[in-house]
Amino acid sequence: MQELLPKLARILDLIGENAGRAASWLVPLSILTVFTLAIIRHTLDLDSAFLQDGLVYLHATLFMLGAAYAPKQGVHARVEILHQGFGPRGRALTDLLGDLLLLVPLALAIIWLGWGYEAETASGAGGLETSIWLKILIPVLGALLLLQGIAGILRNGLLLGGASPADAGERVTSAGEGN
Amino acid sequence: MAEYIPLLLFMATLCLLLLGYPIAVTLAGTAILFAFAGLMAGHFDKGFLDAVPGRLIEVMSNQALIAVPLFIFMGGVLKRSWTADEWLDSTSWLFNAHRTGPGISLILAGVLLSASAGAAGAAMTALGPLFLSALLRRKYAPGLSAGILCASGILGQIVPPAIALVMLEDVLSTSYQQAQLEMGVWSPETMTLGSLFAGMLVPGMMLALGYLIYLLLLGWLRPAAMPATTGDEPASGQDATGPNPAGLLLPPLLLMLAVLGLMVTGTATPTEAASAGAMGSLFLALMRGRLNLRILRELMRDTTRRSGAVFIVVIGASVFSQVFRGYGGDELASRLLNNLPGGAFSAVLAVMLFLFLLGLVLDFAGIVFWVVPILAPVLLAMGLDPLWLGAMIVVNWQAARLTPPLGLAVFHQCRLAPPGLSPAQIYRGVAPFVLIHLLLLASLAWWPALATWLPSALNG
Repeated sequence: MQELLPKLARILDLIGENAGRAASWLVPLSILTVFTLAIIRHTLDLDSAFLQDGLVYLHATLFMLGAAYAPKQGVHARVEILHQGFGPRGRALTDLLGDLLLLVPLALAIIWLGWGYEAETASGAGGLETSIWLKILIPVLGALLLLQGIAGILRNGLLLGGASPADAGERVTSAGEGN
Repeated sequence: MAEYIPLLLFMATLCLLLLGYPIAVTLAGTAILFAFAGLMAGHFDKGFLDAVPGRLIEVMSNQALIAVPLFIFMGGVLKRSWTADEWLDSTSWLFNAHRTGPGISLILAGVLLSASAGAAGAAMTALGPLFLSALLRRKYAPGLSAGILCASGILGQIVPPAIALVMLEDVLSTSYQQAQLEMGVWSPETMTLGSLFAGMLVPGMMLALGYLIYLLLLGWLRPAAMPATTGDEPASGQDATGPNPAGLLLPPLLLMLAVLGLMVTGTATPTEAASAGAMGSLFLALMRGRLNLRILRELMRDTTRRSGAVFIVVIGASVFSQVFRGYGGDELASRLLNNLPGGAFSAVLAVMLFLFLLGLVLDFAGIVFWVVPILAPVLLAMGLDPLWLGAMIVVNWQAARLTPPLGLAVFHQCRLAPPGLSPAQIYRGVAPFVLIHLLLLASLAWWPALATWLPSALNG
C-alpha cells in the first residue's frame, strides 16, 4: 500500500505531463500556420480555407490540453495572501479539500455534460457544423482534470498522513514557479 | 430572496478564492456546486448547464485568443536570448549620465523584461535581487530602489508582447457587442486589439513621464536619496561583454515596436503581428547563437504551461458565468448598478473601487475573465466608450498591484526583499508610484480623450 499510492499518483501525473508535452508541439505549428496565412494574405491576396480550419483545430487542441496542463505546474494562479501563511500541513489540507470538493465534481460535470452534448448533437439537429474533434476535446479536458484531482488527493492525503513530500510522490521541482 | 443567489454565489467564490486554491478551478467548481444544489432544490434551469459545452466550444475556437501563445512564445524567446545582466548593461550609457540615470535605466530594462515575461504574475521578482543590488551599489535609498523595481514591472504589462491587453480586448469587445444590442444598435461598432494598444499609448507615455518627473524632482529635492555617479562601470557591476552594450538593446526594442506598429496601424491583425513577432524573436535569438533544440523544446513547454494558465481561467470563468447567468446574475448586476444614485459616474466609481479591491489579490486574468464580463456590459450600455473603460481598468489594476501591503507586486517584493530592507521602507518607496497611477486615473476620468483620441485619429 505504502508503495502503491505514491506510485499511482506519479503515474497519473505522468499522463497529464505527457499530454501537455505533446500539446507543446502545437505551439510552433500554430506560429508557422498563422505566419504562412499572413504571408499569403498580404503578398498573394489569397485565403486558404484549409489552413484557416487547421488553425482553429490546432488552437482548440492547444487550448484544452494546455488548460489541463497548467494546474499542477505551479503557474496556476492562486490568491497567495493567506495560503502563504498556512504552513505545509495547512496548504496540503486546503489543496486536498479543493481537489475533493471543487476539482473532482467539476471534472465529472465536464465529462458528463461533454458526453451528453456529443451524443445529443451527433444525432442530428443543428450540431452538424461543429466538428466532432472539438466536441471530443471537452470530455478529454474533464478526464485530464479528473486524473489530476485524484493524483492531488492521493498526494495531499499522504502528506497529511505524515509522509515526506518525496514519499508522497511529489515532483521535487520548482520549475515554472516565481514568474 | 432567490434573486440574490448570484450575489451569494459571487461572495462564496470570493471567500474560497482567498483560501488559495487555484483560481480557475475555484470559479468553476463553486459554480457547479451551486448549480447542483439549485437543480435539487428546483431553483435552477438545467438548460444553463447543458449550454456549458457549447460555451466551451465557443471559447476554444475563439480566434482572438490564438494570439496568446504566440505572444507568450515571443516573450519567452526574447527573455532567453538576453540575460537580465545584458538588459541592464545595455542601458549603461544612461546609468552614468545623470543622478537619475540608474533609476531611469532600470525602469527601461524592467519595462522590457516584464513585457517579455507577460502577465503571468510577479515577473520582476526573479530579477529583483540583481536589479536591486545595481541600484543599491549606486547608493540609491533602499525604499526608493524597491519602489522603482515594482513600478517598472507594472509599467511593462502594457507593452507588447505582454498579453494583458489581448485578454482585455477579447472580453471588452464581446461586452461592447452585447451592450450595443441591448441599446438597440443594430449595426454595432467593433473594437479591435490594435485600437486598445493605441488607446493605451498616451496613458502609458504619461505614466513613463510621471515616473521621470518624480525621479527628477526627488533628485533635486532630496539629492541624498540618489547620489550623483562618478565612475563609468557597467550597470550590472560586471565587465561588459560586448563592445557596445547599447546596441544589444536595439534589436528586441525594435521588434517590440514593430509588432506594436503593425497592430496599431491596422496593417496586420493582432494574431498576424504576434506570429511575426514570434518569428522575429526566433531570428534574433538565432543571430545571437542563443538557440538550440533543447532550449526550443523548453520554450514550447513553457509557452504551453503559461498559455494553459490563461486558458484554464477562461474555461473556469465561462462555466461560472453560465451558472451565474442561470441564477439571473446579469440582471441583478445591471439593476444594482443602474439604481445607484448619480448615474454613470457613480456606477463607474463603484466598479473601479470594486476592481481595485479585487486587484489587490487577484491576477489580471482572473479579473478580466471573471468580473469584467459581468460588469462591463452594464457600464457600456450606459454609453461609455470601451477604449476608455479599458484604459481605466488597466490603470486601476496597475495601481492596485502597487498598493501596499496587499498589492501583489509589493507583496512579492516584501517576501523576497534582502535583509536590511524592511516592508515599511518598501511601502514608502512605492507610495509615490501609486500616487502617479491614481493621478493618471483621475486625469483619464476627467479627460476621456487621453484614451480615445489616438485610436480615432489613427482610424481616420
